[in-house]
Amino acid sequence: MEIDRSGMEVLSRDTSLRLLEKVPVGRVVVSEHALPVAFPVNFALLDGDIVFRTSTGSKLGAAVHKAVLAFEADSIDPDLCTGWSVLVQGWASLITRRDELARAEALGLHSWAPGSPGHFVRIHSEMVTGRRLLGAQAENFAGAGCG
Amino acid sequence: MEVDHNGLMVLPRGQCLRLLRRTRVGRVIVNVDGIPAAFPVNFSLLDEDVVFRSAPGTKLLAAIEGAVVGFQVDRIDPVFESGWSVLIQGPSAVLDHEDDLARARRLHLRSWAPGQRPHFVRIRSESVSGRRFLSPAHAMAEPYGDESASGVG
Repeated sequence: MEIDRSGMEVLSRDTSLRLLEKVPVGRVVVSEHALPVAFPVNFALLDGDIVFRTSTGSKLGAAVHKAVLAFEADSIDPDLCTGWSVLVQGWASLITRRDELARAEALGLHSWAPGSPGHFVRIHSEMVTGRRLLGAQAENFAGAGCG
Repeated sequence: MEVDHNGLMVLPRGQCLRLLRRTRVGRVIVNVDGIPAAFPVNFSLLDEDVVFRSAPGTKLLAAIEGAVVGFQVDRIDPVFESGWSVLIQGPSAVLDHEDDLARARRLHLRSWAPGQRPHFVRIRSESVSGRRFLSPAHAMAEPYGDESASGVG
């Protein structure tokens, strides 16, 4: 098991993607007018890539311009000092091909914005990094500021 | 009630800060080597600014030092998929005044991750914006009228 310099378990790409399958909500992270922005979305995985639905606005703008952006999801218990966090980084694109659209439709995703059902955006998971902190590790570190 | 161009309910600054006070984990949003990234941290508020602990020499600390960064917190019900999200943007700095440090230590901030994290980082809440979400399913199944006004989270 690989441990990073801050004492957390480094997760493989496969493990990270499996964890992402367990949560319905993550955050799209993007630079907007050079300022860092993040907003939660309902997402799913399609061939290991992140897919979410959006109406107009910055998310779509980023996607249309094929920007490199990030996606983060986590599940953290601050009382027990356990949990995990996964960061996906890659370029984004609108899903426009009919066969791909049909598969995206089948994911049951929705945008929280009322009105139009919105477009499907895919974040290509070129880089997937994950960290996990388990209970046993947390106990070991309890004297060091955690727990 | 203010609504943004996406039709989402806008939360005023005061309500955003009240929601943050009820939450302990948020995400620092920062560019690392030109690519956006997010790092979850335990945090607390000090004079309406975000404060969290960091270890020396981390990529996060290098990226945030003096930079304008984002900080995001949300609470979303996984069943109803309704909830809220708050985004703070402002310059970050490592606390070095003894007064500030003494006050930061009194926050009893615990780091989520292990290891020694002697530095306290403050993100000035120059811009605070928040939104409320209601899932389409929840919004449709709302025959009780004022349920949407009852405050999620």
